[in-house]
Amino acid sequence: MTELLPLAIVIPLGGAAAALLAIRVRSVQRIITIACTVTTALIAVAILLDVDSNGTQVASMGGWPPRIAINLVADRLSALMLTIGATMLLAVLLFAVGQRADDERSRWYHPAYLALSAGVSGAFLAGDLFNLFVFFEVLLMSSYVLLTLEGSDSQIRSGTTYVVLNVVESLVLVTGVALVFAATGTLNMAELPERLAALPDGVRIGLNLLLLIAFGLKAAVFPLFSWLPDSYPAAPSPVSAVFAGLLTKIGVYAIIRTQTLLFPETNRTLLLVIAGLTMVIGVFGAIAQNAMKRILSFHIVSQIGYMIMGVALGGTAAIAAVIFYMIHHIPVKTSLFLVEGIIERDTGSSTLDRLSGLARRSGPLAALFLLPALSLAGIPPLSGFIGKLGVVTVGLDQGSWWIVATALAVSILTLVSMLKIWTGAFWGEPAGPDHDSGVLRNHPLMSSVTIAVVALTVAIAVFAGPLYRFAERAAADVTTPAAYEGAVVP
Amino acid sequence: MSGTDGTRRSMILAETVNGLTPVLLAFSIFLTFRGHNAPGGGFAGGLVMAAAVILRYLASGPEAVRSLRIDPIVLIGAGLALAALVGTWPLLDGGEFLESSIWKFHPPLIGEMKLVSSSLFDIGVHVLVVGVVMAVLVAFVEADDEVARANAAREELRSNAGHDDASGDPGTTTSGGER
Repeated sequence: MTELLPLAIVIPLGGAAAALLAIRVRSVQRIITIACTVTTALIAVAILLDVDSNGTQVASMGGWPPRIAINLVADRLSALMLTIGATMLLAVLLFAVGQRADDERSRWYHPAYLALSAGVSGAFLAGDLFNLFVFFEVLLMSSYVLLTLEGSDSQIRSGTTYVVLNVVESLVLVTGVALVFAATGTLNMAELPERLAALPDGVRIGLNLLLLIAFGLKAAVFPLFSWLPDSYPAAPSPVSAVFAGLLTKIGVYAIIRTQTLLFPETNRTLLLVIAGLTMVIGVFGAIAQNAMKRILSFHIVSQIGYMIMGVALGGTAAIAAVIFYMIHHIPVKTSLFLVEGIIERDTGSSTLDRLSGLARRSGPLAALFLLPALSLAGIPPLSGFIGKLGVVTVGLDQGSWWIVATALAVSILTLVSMLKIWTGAFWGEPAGPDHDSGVLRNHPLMSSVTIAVVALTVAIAVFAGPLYRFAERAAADVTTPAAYEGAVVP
Repeated sequence: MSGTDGTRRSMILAETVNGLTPVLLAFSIFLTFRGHNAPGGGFAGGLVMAAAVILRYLASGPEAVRSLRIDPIVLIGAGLALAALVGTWPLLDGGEFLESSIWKFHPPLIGEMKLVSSSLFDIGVHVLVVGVVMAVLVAFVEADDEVARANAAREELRSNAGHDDASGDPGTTTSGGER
């Protein structure tokens, strides 16, 4: 079944080519994009099932031996991320089609979106550092296009920050990759653990730090996060939903890979402190904001802190908790941005000052917001509670009291800022004319997609047991470099 | 306004480019096919061909790009599609992604001739690169035209309003013309 791995990348890429050729016919573009995204999602599920029963899958490009070839590697972690990523890409695409906004009608939207999915698949499957960099570039290039689709002043302004910072990040990353190659003579992630271990401590820490800075910027970790709350709110809602849900988590994925596989023996106290600061500063930023998208964007930063905390604590149990946390976080965050998109589409604004009484206008919409919002804050029995419980338990086991205390305090503050959205937008008397037809019924496709994603977050809580056990198996794969090495270069 | 008058063009540059174009095109194709076993390949070849287009643009203005009558987006799409197809093809045969097939011929007089399917991949890359560079050029040309149109409109407004300085102050209209 290894032929499925390249297909997960080449199908969206080929779709992007077809969408470019059909650039003048929007309906054809739409069909191509939906067909390719559905296929990619199905392939991802097939890979996930295959990997879980048959172990890590490796596809060596061009039939070369795996030590020479470009390898695509799917272990449980990559397959899981691939699946959740492809599912979210599909959901947000349908939402965008249903939104019928100008951005989806831009002729660049569909090709750029497909190129983005190819980059996402590639980043999860890359078996060497250089191709990880290449696929990061693919998805960044597409994200530049998507972020500035409308070409409005505010988009260009925040787009400039985004592009400049990401170009700097790419520069740091490619420098790091080049130095790793200079020091070890390989970039194959199966061969690197052994060779990196043989390096002097100073060199190894230096390389680790370079890669961490690059991926940390991508994941929006303190102090490299300021670009995120600045640029995401400027993007159109469906675009910011996929960025918010997915893109930063690819940075976290890369951090997990490098920290567990390449640099397993590292003192991560500094990373733990950074995780704490990321949580605290992110949530304070959220409390200070007044527009829904900006509040939600700051929450991404603070939530990334929890994931980095797990990575910094280290060990199989911690990584399992992080993996579960990511799986819960991606749909939750996406659904919050989708709800925001519905509100913005319906009322023309998502600034809290202008919104009021949405709960009375549409109870179901309020429920759609409340479920993921409470889940994000970690209220039982929702999925966020299980994710936080996992990370906090590991913290307690390892005796890092202060980080656990920080995590719990930040959780309460998250709830406070969610309540701010709740009281601002949903409570009170409806502003303006009260049309009874219902917000959700006016936008059938957008609503059903949002309902599906929220249902997914609930399902994650319901099936938390099997999912958590899967995350534990995935973490066991990831934290034993020898297993990865054995699968790729036997 | 956008440089179609040709008065500001350098004749030396234009003639040099005319002579250089066929050489660049031939060299770009040479590079692309050489890439299978030696330095070169579709990317380098595509860049050289794109350089030829850029040179013509510098020498004779936007007309050089417009007169090609090719939509660069189609080039990008076709190149990417070709590369993707060639990469996927071996999968149907039970091979690996991007695996190259090799055919050997013995045509009379030339001796052995080797064709590899990865050359098709290189051609796709070549076309894609040319398309990207042309798309960038076209975007610049359109932006140039827009500036020129805006300048012309402003000029007209001013002359309608009866200002004295409206009679062709070159300082305000150079942005479109001097490339």
